[in-house]
Amino acid sequence: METAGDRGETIMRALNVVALFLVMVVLLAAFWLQFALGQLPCPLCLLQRVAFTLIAAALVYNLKFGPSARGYGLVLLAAALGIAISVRQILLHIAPGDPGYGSPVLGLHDYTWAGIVFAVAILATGVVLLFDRTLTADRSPHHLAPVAVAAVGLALAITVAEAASVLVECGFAQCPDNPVTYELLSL
Amino acid sequence: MVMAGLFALAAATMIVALLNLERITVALFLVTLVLTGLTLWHHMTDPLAISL
Repeated sequence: METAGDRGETIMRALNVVALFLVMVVLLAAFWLQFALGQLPCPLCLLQRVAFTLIAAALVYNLKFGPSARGYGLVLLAAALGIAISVRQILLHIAPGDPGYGSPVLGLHDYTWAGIVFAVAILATGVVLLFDRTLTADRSPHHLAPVAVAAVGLALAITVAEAASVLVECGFAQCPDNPVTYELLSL
Repeated sequence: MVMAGLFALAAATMIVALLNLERITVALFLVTLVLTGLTLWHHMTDPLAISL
């Protein structure tokens, strides 16, 4: 018989799946800016994408081993690093008259949107930690529901695609500060 | 190359989690986090990095 605790954990797992899909929406939007609009990501843009994939990895951890303080701690660490990178990029372009990097989306540059998303991730994790009564020290692996499998599979596929995209963009050298071409395709 | 490696480490973290290796997952995650932070630090202190 399903207990209140079981229902609570089911709800928390569902929230983690939703969060994982939302992170993938962000990374897919970044791919859209890159491939549809031709806006190649700069080094700080790439580091923010890494931070998003780390949030995804933390959510995969929560789904596989059950939502836990440790898992949410990993989310917080990744989001904190991400917001530091976003703020760095925002401050580089904060001077009046600076056009910023890339085209604005709905009035804000994508690194500003990233900073907002990282801040939302931190706040949401804090709210979950306040109200989640199902956190447990049991770290035994869980069976993933089909929708969780889909979310995790998508996260893994996008992360591998990001690695391939960066390799083509930067080649085997340091990524250029203002990328205009795919280095590996120029060889 | 470094950036691609960071994404590869993030993917490896997910794969290791799916293999039910909890402590290695956490360790890989933290290694990736630290390396990302070091890459950010390098970018911030690189005298050749003028702007984005």
